[in-house]
Amino acid sequence: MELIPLLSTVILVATLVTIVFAAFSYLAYRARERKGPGAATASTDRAQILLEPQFFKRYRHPD
Amino acid sequence: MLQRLQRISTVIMFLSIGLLIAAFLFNLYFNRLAVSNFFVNFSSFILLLFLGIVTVRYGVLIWFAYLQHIEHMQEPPEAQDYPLVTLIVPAYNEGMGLEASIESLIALDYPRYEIVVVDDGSSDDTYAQAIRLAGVYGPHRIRVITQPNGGKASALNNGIANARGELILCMDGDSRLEPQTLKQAVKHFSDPTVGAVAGDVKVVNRLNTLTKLQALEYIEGLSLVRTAHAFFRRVMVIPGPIGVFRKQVLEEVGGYFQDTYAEDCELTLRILFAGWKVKHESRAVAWTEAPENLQSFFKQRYRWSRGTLQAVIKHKGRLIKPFPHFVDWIFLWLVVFESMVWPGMDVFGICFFVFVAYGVGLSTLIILWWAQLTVLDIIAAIFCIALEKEDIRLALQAVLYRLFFIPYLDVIKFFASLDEIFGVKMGWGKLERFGRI
Repeated sequence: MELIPLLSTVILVATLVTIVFAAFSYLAYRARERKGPGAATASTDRAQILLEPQFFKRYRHPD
Repeated sequence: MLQRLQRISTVIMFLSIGLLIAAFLFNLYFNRLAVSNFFVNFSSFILLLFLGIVTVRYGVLIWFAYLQHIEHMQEPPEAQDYPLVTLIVPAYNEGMGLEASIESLIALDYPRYEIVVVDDGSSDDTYAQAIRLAGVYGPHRIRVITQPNGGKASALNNGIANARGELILCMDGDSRLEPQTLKQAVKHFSDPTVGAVAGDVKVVNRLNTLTKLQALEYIEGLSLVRTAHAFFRRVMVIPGPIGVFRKQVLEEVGGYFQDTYAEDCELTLRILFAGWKVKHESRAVAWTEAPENLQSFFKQRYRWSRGTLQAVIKHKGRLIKPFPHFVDWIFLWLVVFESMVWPGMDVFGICFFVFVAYGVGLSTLIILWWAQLTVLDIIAAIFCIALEKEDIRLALQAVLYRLFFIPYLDVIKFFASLDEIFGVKMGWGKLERFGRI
């Protein structure tokens, strides 16, 4: 087999496998996020959190 | 010695630029041979356009990183005076690595500093570990604060509120600092217009291929961009593992906000837009633990990508208004280019050339595409490795870097951007740590 077709096949296969693998990783990540115990928070929900002033509010431990 | 280093750097820089031009001309020549019909013409044009942009990108980054390096070598070797620095260590379930992290801080070569550990409501023994370490080293050196879990930004803000120092170093609970870090970073604050200094982050756990590829990426992908931006005093992201700030600046801009997943990028943008200079110090080094498996890596990069996009969206008004802050406008667009346009172009390029290879039978094009990007990566890697006196063997990873790492990363960025645009929910999560520091 000639070098050019061999190399192009290797690169093509590697690239395609990586892209498909990354897409599956994304699907797996989404599935894990859905299963998580209420961990997911929408961006807008996080923005709501900001409405409560938190910055530089010193916390004192109950003890 | 200084002159010799300058000569070596000059040779490397001109060699890099020369190779970049050679790579581009090589591509131009091969594409001229390939022209035979409209579709091939068009594909060749797209290939050339992409590679042209990439070559220019690498050339510009290397040039300004080089200029910054030369300038950096002429700066005073270390700080002349020593203001009090507060080191804030936010820690959420860092029981495994906290001791190593604190020990690196105790060993810092700097006369006046205090350490504030903020336990962010950890469910492991982080708080107990911190109290134990405060007992060992004394409460005058280490203070421990605990709070209900509120996220890293909230822990850092708590630390800032309790800081006594004029300067504040923010880091991660799983990072280790090099002894010279403070002296090197503090010297930049003799300029009263400097609001913050970004340090250099390196991967400590180079144990498998994934972490070695990340080590290369931290040097070539992240540090190169930061060094080039530093020439203009506009580092766009002060990395979470090491950033030194004037306390006055943090108070002025309102500290860390919690409305994005990239609080470090978001804070940096606010500091820059408030008119402060942000510099980079390559000798202020934080060693950090990179994700060792793909699951953790995906989670981390997905969060970074969405966070960066959120930070840019917060300042979207500036994207369409080039004046009166023209330089800020250029740099904000650079963030957009680096985080979204360039990965999008890469994914599009890969799909396009796969299609060309199968549809038209021009598989040679994909070899040229891949080979030249790899050559560019190797050139940039060698330049950065020489600049940072890193392990030269990392340059060998550039082959795998372009073949697997970058396409994987670009797909993550692609999905993260889509999810952010469509408001898909996500959680913070906690990366798995093995206490490698």
